Amino acid sequence: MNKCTAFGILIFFVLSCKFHSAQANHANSTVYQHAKDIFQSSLYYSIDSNPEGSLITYIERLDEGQRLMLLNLQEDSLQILLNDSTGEINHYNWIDNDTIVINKTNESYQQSLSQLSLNFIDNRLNDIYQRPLITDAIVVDTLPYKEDRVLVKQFLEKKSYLYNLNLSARNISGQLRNRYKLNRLAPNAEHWLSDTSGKLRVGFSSPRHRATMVWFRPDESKRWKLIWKGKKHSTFRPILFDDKNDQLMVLSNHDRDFVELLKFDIASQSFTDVLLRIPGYDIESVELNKKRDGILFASYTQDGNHRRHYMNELGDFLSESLKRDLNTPNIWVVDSSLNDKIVIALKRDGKNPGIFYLFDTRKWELTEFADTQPWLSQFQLGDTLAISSKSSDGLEIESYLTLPANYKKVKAPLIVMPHGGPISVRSSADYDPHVQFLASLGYAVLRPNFRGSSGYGQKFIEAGKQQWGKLIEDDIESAVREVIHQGLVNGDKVCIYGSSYGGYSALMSAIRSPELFKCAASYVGVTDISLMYNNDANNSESILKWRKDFVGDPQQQQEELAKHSPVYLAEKLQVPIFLAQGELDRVVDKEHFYRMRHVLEEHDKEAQYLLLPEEVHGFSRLQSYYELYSHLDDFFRKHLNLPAAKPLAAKPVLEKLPTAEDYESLN
Amino acid sequence: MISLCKTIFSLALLGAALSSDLEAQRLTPEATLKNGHGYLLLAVESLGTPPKKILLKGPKVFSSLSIDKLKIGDNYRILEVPIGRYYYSQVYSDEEKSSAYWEILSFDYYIDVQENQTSYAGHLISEMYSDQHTDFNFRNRSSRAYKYLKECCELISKKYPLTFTGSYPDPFLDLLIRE
Repeated sequence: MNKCTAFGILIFFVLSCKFHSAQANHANSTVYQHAKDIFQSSLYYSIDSNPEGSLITYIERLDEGQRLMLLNLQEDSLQILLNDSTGEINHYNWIDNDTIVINKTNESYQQSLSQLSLNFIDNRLNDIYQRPLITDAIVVDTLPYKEDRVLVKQFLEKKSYLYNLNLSARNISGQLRNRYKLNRLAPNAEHWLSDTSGKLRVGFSSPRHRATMVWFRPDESKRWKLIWKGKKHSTFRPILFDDKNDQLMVLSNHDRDFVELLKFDIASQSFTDVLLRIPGYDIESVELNKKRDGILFASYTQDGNHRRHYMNELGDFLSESLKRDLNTPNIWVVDSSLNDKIVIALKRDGKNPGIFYLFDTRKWELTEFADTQPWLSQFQLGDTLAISSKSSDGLEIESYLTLPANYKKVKAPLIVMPHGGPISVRSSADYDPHVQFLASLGYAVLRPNFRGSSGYGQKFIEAGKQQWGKLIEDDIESAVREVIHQGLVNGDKVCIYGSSYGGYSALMSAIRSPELFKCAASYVGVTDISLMYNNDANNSESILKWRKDFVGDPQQQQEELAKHSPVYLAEKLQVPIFLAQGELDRVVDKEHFYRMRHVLEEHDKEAQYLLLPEEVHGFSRLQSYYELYSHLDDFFRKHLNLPAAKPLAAKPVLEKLPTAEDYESLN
Repeated sequence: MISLCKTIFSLALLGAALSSDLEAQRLTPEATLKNGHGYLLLAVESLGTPPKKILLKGPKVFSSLSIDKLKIGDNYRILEVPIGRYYYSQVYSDEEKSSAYWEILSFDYYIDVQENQTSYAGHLISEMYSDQHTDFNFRNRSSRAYKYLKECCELISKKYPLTFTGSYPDPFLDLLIRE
């Protein structure tokens, strides 16, 4: 080995050691560790009760995998029902008092249903029997009035088929024969409503960006008949039959600005009554009661907070009592046993991802059941307030400002976080780990619901048409200037960050208003509008048509789209840029990242890049949150001239909660 | 006699097919393109197991193309071909046990080869993780294609500039070429 080679190897070794040490330091940094605390998943989820309210089940997340747990209220015992070391269980449904159907997805993304039968002797769980039921299928209806029966939907190549399975029968495959397909001769609908006996009565399809079609069949001897064909972009979502099976309850904004709960007469094919209207807000969804014969509540968002309007006496009474007793407006009855013995309530708000409570209506007793992320109480998280601003054309814009706990002592630096979409998506003041990660590090976070956002009616959505880089960004700026004007944040320390459309908006906002923003960060952001049309070969004609209508037509408006695309405007950038991308993103292809990086380098702009090799559009791995957010914090601190990060601590770490090992175990 | 004629005719057809394929796949970076010919820049990103072979259906009966020896990541081929529309038609799996292939002609992934240009319409993204988890997409990554062409074959890139022939215009490639 000559001297040169030896020197080369030495240099390589030193550089490689330095690189590994930098990587290790990064992973050991306070912020990286803090990201791990904030972004880790909930400990408990999918809490449910069997129909008679004697058993409670939930999924408990473990360091590796998860397990399905059973709390026996009669025996006061907790047991492991099923160990799921690979984390394949997505969801489960109680079918009757001793039968559960479990929905799993394996590593090849194949869904399957399996049956778990529980055998009890003197109220004690004696044995568990498990068997596979059907692949590529989901549960559609638990048919609460039919013991051992469940309505399932199996996805085949071109169509999905529904079956009414008898779970007490030994032979399941025999029940999947052609003649048992409930929708064998029906139109190719995506969603179905059945009557209480499990017979299909309504089928509907609401493909993205296409008109909703609804079919009805009065009984099994009659043919399916089209009863509704909606306008494009209008909502018509069948929810439930009325008692006589001749009227439908639907969520619709047909011929009105906001989505309301309406009564639709099937014979005359017309709306006959308004069942619920929330003035100024869209009704976002409705939840059926456990008997599936009535509506438990309708959900909407007011001042950024999720609200539920109860349409069930017990739910309404209990929710109001719990709000009063626990002194919070943010506790809700979310489920109950079929006989209403056990009611499940959830307390959740902008600072708390959720605490589940069990309420025993026979004993009139409330128990705190599960704090889903107990470790968060060691940090001081931020409160969120709704802000109103007037945009350049006078349109009123609602935004949510989350302030760090120390905002009274120090005027907080601001991170503006526009949401993705931009059409028919919205921000809310609900718990969001992305926001609370930043707030717990001392940043204020502003999330504007610019024009095009959902929840504010159809006209507001239409106002967002072809406003990329134009009035939408005016709306965002109006919110930023408003919070600065009100003295709520430090107007000299403002950066903007978002993902997808939010990433595009961050880049465009920095180009448009360099005096307002000190830096901009884009994750999986669109950088060239025209590129969106050539990157979606699988997009249907209807999606392309919608995109041309709402974003612009690259064949007719090429110059206009280029004028509002960051890659053609990079020369104007005056502030540092952070650009991050998931390499496997199918929505915003990595070409957007490459193009932007090319022009930033070409114009010698200050920029930092992060390519996450296994990441998609959003986040599929916890590691990516830690990686991205620790780098983002570094970037913001550097360009906002902030001191080293220190999470705002509340109190020492909680003691470890009791786990199933502390109780008896079957396995 | 009839059978001999049939054999001769079949051999002639086979010869024509082979010579057409060979001609289409000849890479002659320094040569002048023949009349009615252009360069076709094929780009394939392989995720998971690389395909054994990919077939393209050309504008004429005997103008099919095939590419093989694909590796994980980006793969590029520059082929001199008669002008016209070339469709990605079949992707063969590398499974030794089976000769499984995916018919992708109906996906409508095509490149319009133009005369005296190097035509590109997108990267074929092949995701072959398992039989159940296989997917194909076609995406415009012209900045990557441009970089590749500039680095590998400067002569071609100067004499027969890269042109995007996808469904919608790509002003970014024009910007790169102007730089």
